[in-house]
Amino acid sequence: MQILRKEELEKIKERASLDLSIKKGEKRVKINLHMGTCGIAAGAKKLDIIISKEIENRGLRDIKIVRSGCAGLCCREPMVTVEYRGLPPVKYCDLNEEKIKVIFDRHILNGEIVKPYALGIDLEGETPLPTDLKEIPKIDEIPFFKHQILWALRNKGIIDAEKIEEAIARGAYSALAKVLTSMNPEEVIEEVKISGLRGRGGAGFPTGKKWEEGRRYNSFPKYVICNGDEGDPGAFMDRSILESDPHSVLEGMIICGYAIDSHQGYIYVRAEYPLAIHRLNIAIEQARNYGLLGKNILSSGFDFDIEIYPGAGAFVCGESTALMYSLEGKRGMPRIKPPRSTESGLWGQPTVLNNVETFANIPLIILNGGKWFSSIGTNGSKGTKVFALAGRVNNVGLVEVPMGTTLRMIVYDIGGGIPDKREFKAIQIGGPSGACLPASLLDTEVDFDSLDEAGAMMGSGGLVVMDDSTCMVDTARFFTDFSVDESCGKCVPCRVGMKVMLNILNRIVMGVGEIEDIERLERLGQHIKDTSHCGLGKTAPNPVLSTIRYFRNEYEAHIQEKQCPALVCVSLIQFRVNPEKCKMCGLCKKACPMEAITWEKKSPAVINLDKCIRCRSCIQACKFGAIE
Amino acid sequence: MNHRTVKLTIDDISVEIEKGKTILEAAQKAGIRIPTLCHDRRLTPFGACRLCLVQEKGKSELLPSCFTPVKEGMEIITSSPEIFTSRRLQLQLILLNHPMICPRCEKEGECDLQRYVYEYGIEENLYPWERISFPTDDRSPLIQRDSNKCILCGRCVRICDEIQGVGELSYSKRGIKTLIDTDFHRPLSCEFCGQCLDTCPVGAITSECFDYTVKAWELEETTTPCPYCGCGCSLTLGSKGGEIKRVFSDPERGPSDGNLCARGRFGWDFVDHPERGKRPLKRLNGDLKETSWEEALQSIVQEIERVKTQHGPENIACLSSSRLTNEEFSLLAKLFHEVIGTKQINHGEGLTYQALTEGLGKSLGISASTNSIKEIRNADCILIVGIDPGKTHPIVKNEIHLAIRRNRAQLIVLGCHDIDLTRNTQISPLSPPAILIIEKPKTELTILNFMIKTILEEGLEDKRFIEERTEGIFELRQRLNSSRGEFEAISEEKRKVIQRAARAFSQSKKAMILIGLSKGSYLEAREVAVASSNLALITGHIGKESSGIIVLLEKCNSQGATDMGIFQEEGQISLLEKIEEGKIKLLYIIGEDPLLFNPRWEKALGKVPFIIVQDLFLTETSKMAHLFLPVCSFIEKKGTYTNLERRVQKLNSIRPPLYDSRSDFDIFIQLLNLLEFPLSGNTPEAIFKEITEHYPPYQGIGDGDQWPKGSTYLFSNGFPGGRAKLIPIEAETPRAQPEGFPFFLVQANSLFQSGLLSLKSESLRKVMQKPSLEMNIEDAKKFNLEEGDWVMVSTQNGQSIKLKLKYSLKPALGVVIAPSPCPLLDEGGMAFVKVEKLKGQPFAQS
Repeated sequence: MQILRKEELEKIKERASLDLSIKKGEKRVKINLHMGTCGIAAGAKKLDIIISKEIENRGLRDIKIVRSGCAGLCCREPMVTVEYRGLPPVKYCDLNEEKIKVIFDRHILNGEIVKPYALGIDLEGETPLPTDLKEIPKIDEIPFFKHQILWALRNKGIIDAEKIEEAIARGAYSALAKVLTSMNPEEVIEEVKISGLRGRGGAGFPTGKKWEEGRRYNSFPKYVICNGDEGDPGAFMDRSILESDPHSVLEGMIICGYAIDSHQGYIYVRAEYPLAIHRLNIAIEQARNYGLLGKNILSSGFDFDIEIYPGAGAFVCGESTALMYSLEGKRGMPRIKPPRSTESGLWGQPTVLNNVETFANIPLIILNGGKWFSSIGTNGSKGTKVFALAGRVNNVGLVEVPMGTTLRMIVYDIGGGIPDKREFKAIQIGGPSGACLPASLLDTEVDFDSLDEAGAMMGSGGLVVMDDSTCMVDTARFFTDFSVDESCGKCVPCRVGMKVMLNILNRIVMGVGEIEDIERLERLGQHIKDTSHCGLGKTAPNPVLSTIRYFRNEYEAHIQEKQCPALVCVSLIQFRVNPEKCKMCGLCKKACPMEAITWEKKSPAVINLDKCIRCRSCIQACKFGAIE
Repeated sequence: MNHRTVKLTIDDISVEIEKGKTILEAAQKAGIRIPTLCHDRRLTPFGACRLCLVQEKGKSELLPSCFTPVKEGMEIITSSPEIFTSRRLQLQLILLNHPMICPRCEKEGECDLQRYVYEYGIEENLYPWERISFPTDDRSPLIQRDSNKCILCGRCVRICDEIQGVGELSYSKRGIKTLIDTDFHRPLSCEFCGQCLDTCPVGAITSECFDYTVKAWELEETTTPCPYCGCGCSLTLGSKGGEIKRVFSDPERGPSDGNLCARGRFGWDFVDHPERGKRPLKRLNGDLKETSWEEALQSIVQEIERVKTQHGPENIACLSSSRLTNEEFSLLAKLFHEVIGTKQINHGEGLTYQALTEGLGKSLGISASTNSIKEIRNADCILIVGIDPGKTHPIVKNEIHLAIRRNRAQLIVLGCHDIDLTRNTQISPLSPPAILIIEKPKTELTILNFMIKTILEEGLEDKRFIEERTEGIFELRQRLNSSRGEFEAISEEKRKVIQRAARAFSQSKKAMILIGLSKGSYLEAREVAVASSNLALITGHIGKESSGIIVLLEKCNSQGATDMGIFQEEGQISLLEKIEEGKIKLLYIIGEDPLLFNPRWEKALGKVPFIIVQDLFLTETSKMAHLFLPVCSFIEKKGTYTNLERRVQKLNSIRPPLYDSRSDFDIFIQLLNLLEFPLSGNTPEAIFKEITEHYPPYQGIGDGDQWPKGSTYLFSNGFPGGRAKLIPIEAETPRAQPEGFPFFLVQANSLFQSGLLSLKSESLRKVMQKPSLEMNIEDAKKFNLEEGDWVMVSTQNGQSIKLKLKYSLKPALGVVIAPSPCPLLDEGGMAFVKVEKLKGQPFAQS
């Protein structure tokens, strides 16, 4: 372990920047393998093996491989970015074993860009684009990337998360050096306050204010906790940051420690994120080796260390006080407030807890100033927000947009709209705590206050797009079921009330609901919101309340007409072919796993209900909506 | 307006209350009732039931009153249509899974849920629900649990953790399947204090003793002090027709804050034990035959007068338990001191009195503990000398646990074995770890002296306190400096630990010393008390709240015995020797069963021409009596007990004496009448009045007061003699360990067995652990002994017992712990023994 000085850090930065570039030196080609969990799941490891073998077999020494994190467009993984000296970097997507071999032979060995596989070219401006490449879109012009501003995700898919030097080359720990050499804790807090940064975990508490409170209490030791217990279904922002750029989070935490006079930090991260934990462990060890963590950081005399604590899989442990109990080895159940955690948190000591994304933003604020940060965003919400865009949208992936971007832009411009020519129906924002907003609210700006007004919430940033094949009652039922399972069991309204709501929803989707059930749901939902203790309980009825608010007709259809308009709730589907709509194509027969459909050319299909298991395969197969 | 208080209105009633208190507490102060289910005043607020919601005037937000702190100028309303609807809905939700079997629930009539359901008029269920059922747990002794009735308020979990420091129960599973359970759903294996069933607001945790013959509203409630240890908790007996059905403790009375231990809550069934003495018995032609009270008492009077004139008063002795009331002790003292003319009354606790009278009495001027039990929770350093309060004084253990938990108090354990409380310091990495000074017995004094020496040498003493309020510092310093030999035996490593303890003790703000002395304790009572007093005095930790010395007395009225002047001049073994030498011609045994504890007594008692046994039970010893007088139990008599914190509490009877038994009081009155001794009256009230008139500390004392009147702690205005005395004391040179007897044997009390009464409690016998010999694992390995081996423990003089061996981390090397009472112990409460492995299993233990 060494103790670095600020100047030495700068030298490392210079050296590493040279290493990262292939403009000079012996490395001629850089292959950037995007190996986030999404890439690996899509097969990136196979590509890695192929490339590594080829390089080894051919004894090539001039090729540099970077194993970075997610590049953002998860639905097009595996992705590889290839940079050949003298040519702009090219992103290839939807790769497989054959394609990578072609790319290897042509682009990597011979500098010949494989146009059909290319997603886009990353032009840094200075290189004039060869005319024959004009047909390949520029990355900056692809709508998915064009509207994004990458702050928290600044190193996403660029650096090898397991090499601290690459992070340093991209500016990691410069903010820390600035803080330790030229700022006092009050100035750090002031800068964060000026930035207007609000907690990215969902509730949006002003970060600077939280730090200020954490500093105010004179009881030691104090703790800094990073909440990486990302549990919302469909959310993966924090995972991606931890996987692709763990140092940004570590740096943010150390700065926080300096600001509030704490010397110990904990990262509470889901055990279901093994890759994130693995990379964090490496990052912590490397930071310790450089003296960027531990005793006497950057020779400043300031000590700070970080430990990782893998969670045990309870959704409620994402709630800050429950998380602290869990860290203490107790059952994760939210604690009453006051006192706030900044006064009495972990082990009863002042504790500042922030979300992964919040910490990742801190170094930028320090380096560029709070004013710079607050230059984008809306009145009450500054900076950018990372969203995990998923569901029925063309571009599924991780996006970072300025606060105030409209939902429409996220869905249609960045997300590329709805696939299969379907209709947009709703967007679910904020996970089980959030709400489903209809098309009429697509122009809502994403910021803490506007979403709140619309009856939704920012949550941690999960965005699930739904098209007209989604039943809103069933969607509400799904999220309610999740909340029922994940309620910690402490307070009555959430524990029992949510179960009652689920029971009511179950009978509605079974076709035995009563019209009064809608009012019952509303009354219970409001009661649970008003009287539950923690954020989980207070927001758990949101999916139901928002769907009743915006899609009441669907509830009524289920109850009064015993129909599920989206043909999702199997109890309400007759499984009958409407001969008028049937185009006699026979696709339903092919899809049926039970051979329950009889069809002959030029005649409508018939479903034999005795054999039908109501699996909905035929409904999904039919392009004409002929099955009722 | 005081800056520490805030003013607010609740339902337009204005209340002034300390800052930091909750709306609920303010409402309670104003006499306004807010419904709660998960609230227990002993516990930190939890906020689970959401019934206590209130509103601020003009605002719609519902505030949980149980944890929302009061703010200046708040205007709170506790009822509004919103609040009413919300509470109703909450109750409806709770009832969905709550079985409506109230008529066959033992909680009926005092169930909080039942009351609110009634008050809020909850009717039919409006919501779809399928009952989720849970397995009931009736496998555990004494305590039964039914999770179906449980409303998950968490009070049992929290009281077990926060107050008891045990954590036997916890939440298990999630969501709607959440239940309260032990780990892995095993039967309870805990302190069986029953605090969980005490706090349960519904009938989910119930007592096995409550036998489905009575309803809560039929119970008559009587408060009376607990007859077990010196804590003297106030018991509220729920009885019907003179039979106790259950026991709890009124938080407003006694030292325990509403808490009780297993003995207090379940140990009362000895009062109906079949072995209770029914009629007076007299030995005729070798057999005990029924006789009349008149004849029995007459024969005592005749014998006393005969022995006194023929042999002299020194031939008459009394062996008395410390469970007599103050009034009874006062009469007993008159009988022996004034009528017979001997001070030969030996009371149950061996030499404890020396700690009080010669130790604290001579040093400080008052022979009693200086502070109260409830003050322990606010101390930030607690030094425990030679006792495991968790076993002997569970309520004190709770207080220590609270100090550790809430104040992060420094625990210092000085003794020959570690105690369970040490574990409680490990609940947080920020709690200072306990400082353990675990050494062989009889080194305590040296260690205390070394602590004092360290403090004086390092200048950590409270110089002003010493100068203004003590005398003898010069002599103390001189004595400590001149006795190098005493400290030589302490290893360098140990020295560091003791020095650390000395610094922690002297530098803390509020420090308490708890000394444990009881029958069979090996501590040198007088010396340890003096050394403790020296330590408290030089650090100024006395005469203040939560700073001082508490002597953990064994029995419910040990303090009273001392107060009433029952001082013994020698220990029980000396009396035994006298008897063996034939020097005692009349022995009056009251509430003691010496035969049970030491077989030597059998032969000795054979040499006494006239033995009177006055007891609740027909004991082993009573079989050798010439006269047996059956006395009544604590629920059948009147009088007062004084607990170890000087609190005088009145006994209230729930029934007349059973059978033909009489109270010790009546027997003494009648004897004194027959002996024509003038008395100021013949009721306990009259005698108590006499005590309050003649014994100054008791002046003006009423039921529940601490003497001297109003003093929770002593010496706030200085010491009775002007200055407290620092008395240098020398540790005795330890006895040489005899060759071939490598172990010190000491005895340890069990939580469930503290002596004669607990032996006769069927409830406590159910939860009693099997007796075993605890040995340090390292020692056991050295001697090739394995856990579960049957071993023979024998002393030099050939006495032996057989026990099962238990590995332990607690005892110091070279120390073995036997369960109390252990017959091998000598006068000093210890013995040198050897431990040998037995082949096979013995048929029975001797």
